[in-house]
Amino acid sequence: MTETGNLSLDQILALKRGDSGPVVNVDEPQVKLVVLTLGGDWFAFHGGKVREVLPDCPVFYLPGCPSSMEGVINVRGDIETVIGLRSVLGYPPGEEAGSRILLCQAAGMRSGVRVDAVEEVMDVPQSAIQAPPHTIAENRKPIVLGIVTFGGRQVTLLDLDRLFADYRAGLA
Amino acid sequence: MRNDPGDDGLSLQVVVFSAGGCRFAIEAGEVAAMRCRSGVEECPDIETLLGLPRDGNVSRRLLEFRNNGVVAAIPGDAALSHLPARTIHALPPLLAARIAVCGAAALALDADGPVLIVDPRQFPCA
Repeated sequence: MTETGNLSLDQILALKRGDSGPVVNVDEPQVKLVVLTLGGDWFAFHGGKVREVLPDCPVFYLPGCPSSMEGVINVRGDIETVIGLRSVLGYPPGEEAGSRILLCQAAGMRSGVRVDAVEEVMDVPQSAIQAPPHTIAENRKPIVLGIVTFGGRQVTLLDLDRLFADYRAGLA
Repeated sequence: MRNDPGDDGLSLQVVVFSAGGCRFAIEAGEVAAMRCRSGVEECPDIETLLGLPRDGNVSRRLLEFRNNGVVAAIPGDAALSHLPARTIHALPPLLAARIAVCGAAALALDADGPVLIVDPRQFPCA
């Protein structure tokens, strides 16, 4: 409405059309998400934190690392660590065949993160990200940013900055 | 243009040995002597200094480190070698934070895999 209480032309035409469905704000900020799976569960990272999905490459074991750190890889001459998201989130070891390593940048660090599969890269409105439910496991609460519904599934949006920072501090 | 020290043929002279399923390197300048072990000489195994499980019953040689006089028994052989500077990298931050190998200082990656470069001045009995 205008300041005088009159309707704008667009509003009048919308009323004439009988528009009653949900209003989509096309100007709403969109968020890019990389959707992945882990043990049949669906998760997502903010797209801006994922630099690339790496092709299959050898991971070199190093002694003295936590079991969740698989080793290091050579990415075009740079050395990057690889951590297994399964292990970090408390899933049992899974099949490595078909898994993917995402090269992620967060909390000022870069590392490979192994996931079971990458399902989708998509844009969602900011408002589609809902607060995490209270039923979420206590150990995951600090690293969960929210929940998004995708294809009828609940996708848990993970906080890579917190995950990396906690991992560096030995908390994950 | 990338400033790659390897392009200049720069390299690091190191003593390379294997322990705990991995290759390790120590700057040659940090090693005072390398010799066979005599029957009576008591010294820690390198795995103990590195904080790793001890390798099985293998023959050992001795490395004496220059700055602290520590002598360690290494499994198998050790070899003097050169690591091209372009293959040497700082430890990635998550690795630097979580690796439990004492003295881990850098990592080299060549065609045969990783070489963990350790600083003997950081060993616990130094």
